Amino acid sequence: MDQAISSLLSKTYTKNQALATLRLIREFLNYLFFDLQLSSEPSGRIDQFLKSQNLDPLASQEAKILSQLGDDFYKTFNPKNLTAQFKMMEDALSSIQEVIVHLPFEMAEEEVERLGEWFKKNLGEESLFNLNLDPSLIGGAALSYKGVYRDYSLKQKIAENKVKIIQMLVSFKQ
Amino acid sequence: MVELILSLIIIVVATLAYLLRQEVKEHQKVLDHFRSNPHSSDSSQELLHSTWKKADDILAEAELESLKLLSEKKFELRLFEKRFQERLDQIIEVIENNFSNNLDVSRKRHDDFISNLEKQTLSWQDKLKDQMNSKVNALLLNFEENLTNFLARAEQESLESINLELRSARQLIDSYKSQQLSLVDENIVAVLERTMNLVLKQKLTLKDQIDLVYEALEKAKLEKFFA
Repeated sequence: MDQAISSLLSKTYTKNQALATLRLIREFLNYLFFDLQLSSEPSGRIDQFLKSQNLDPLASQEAKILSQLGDDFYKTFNPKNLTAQFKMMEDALSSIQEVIVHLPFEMAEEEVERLGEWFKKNLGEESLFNLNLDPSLIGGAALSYKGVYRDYSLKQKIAENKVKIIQMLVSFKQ
Repeated sequence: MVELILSLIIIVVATLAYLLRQEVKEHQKVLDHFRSNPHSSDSSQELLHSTWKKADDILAEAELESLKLLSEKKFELRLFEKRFQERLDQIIEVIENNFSNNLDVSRKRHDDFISNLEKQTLSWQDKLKDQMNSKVNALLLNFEENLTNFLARAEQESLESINLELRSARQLIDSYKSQQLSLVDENIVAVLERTMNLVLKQKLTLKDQIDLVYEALEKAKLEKFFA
């Protein structure tokens, strides 16, 4: 089971994404095991499932991850242990401490992926993050992790240099 | 005095009479003795007769002497009375003279005393008046001085309290001014932040924004924020 979670985490960057992917995986396995009543070659049935759900594998990140997980991932599941396995996986995912990145702008998907890669590279494959929009930050980012908040934004830099700024303004006035 | 002399005379006469009686009794005893003794009747009759005669002589002499004495004494008494009265009158006169002299002297002294007293009273009155005037003046001066001091103190205290009020008002003004200036400073920073927010949103490219984000992440990693 740890391997399944690790595989999932290696392909996902944010917790929301991981949970959404997990939900999609569950729907797929339900479709595979109970609708098609198949237990083998799950990866060959992904396109069929996505079509039935009206999901575009090129557009949806979760759909892409579904394809990227591989048969080794799906072999860990069977009709009997499906519910229990998914419950364990959900619990495991929920317990992971994610890094919340507060940004003053909306990040594009590609940039989110790139950011995710940075996190995987620097914090480990099982690290997750989440994005929060905070326009007051002006530029840069603020981070929250394990209950600690640190502001590395432009807003903080202005606040730190308030006195210098005021002195500068006064010197301009003079 | 007269009574004393009379009483003396009476006592003398009574004494003489008593002595004569005693002598008569003795003669009577002798007579009785002779009468009882028959052998001596003739000589005793002669003796008795002589004795009676002597006794009568003595009695007559005594009476004569007593009368003489009484008259002498009466005369002396009258003389004494007269002299006494004269002396008394003299004494009274002297006493009267002395009394009148003394009275005059006392009256004079009394008049002198009264006049002196009057003079002294007047002088004391003047002195008292002067003292009272000086005391009243001193009191008024003291009162004036105290009042002046009090007014000066009150003025000083009121000035000090006014100064204190002014100082506290100035301090309040200064603190309000500094508070307002700090508010202005904060507002400047807030305005600056807002301005920068608006301007940078327009001026900062997406690449710049992304770079800033990665810069923040790298800084957090250096600070071991993810540890």
